[in-house]
Amino acid sequence: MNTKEKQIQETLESIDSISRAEVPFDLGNKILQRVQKQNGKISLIKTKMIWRAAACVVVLVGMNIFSLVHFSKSKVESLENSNPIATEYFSYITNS
Amino acid sequence: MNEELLISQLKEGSIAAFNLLIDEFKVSVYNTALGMVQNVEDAEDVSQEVFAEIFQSIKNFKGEAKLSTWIYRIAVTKSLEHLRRKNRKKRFAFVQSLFGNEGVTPIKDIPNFNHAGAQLENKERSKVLFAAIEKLPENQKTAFILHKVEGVSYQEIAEIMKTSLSSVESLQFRAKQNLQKLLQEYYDKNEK
Repeated sequence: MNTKEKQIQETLESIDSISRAEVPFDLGNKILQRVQKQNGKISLIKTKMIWRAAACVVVLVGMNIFSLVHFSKSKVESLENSNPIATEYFSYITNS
Repeated sequence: MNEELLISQLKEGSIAAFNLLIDEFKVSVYNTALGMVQNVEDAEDVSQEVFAEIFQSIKNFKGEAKLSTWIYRIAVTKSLEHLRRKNRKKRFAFVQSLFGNEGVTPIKDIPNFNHAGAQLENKERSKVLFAAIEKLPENQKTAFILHKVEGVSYQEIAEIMKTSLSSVESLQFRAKQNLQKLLQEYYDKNEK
């Protein structure tokens, strides 16, 4: 084995003597902070909230449809009913 | 605390359990990232990303692999993503430098990375070795770092990389061959 080969071999073997590096002392805190921050963002749009909002929308739409159908019917009825009354009420004008 | 209990508490979103997980795995995650990205600040950043990902995805962990395998997989993926982002930036900076933009740092052939775990008498050698490791293809680098720096078995590396045991053996063999070539070139160049 010549000098260069020996050098290469020693360089390759140098990895065997490498120990694990020490973790920066505040890494754990930084991770927790990041996760809590991220979790806070997530909690703003929790699934429960989404379901509640969806339920509210459904109820509102339902109420709108109900009122639309119900009140349009009564309006038609009232219009139908109002005509004979009006005719009768203003009949004195036409009669006179 | 056993692994199953830890996982179930993590799935419930327990911060105390997450603290335990950080204590148990921060050294492995940080060292894997450090070996891959070869920069202390970047390794710290990748470690944070890894644990944030774990916290988010633990609900999807089905327990098909060991928890450590799953965490190593995330660490490797995040490190590779980081390297790809960095390389894209480097390429963009290089293209910019071709068009005469000022203030762009030149791409270094050999980074000046000193692994904190390298022994004093091996500092220079390990610096050269890590520069060579940086030039390996992604899968060879992953297999080599996990085995040589982290001491992960070939079987677990196969599970982490979702490949076969023979593929890992082949990756290790090719990584060593490529490293020898790269070191040969380096020492030839520096002898002149």
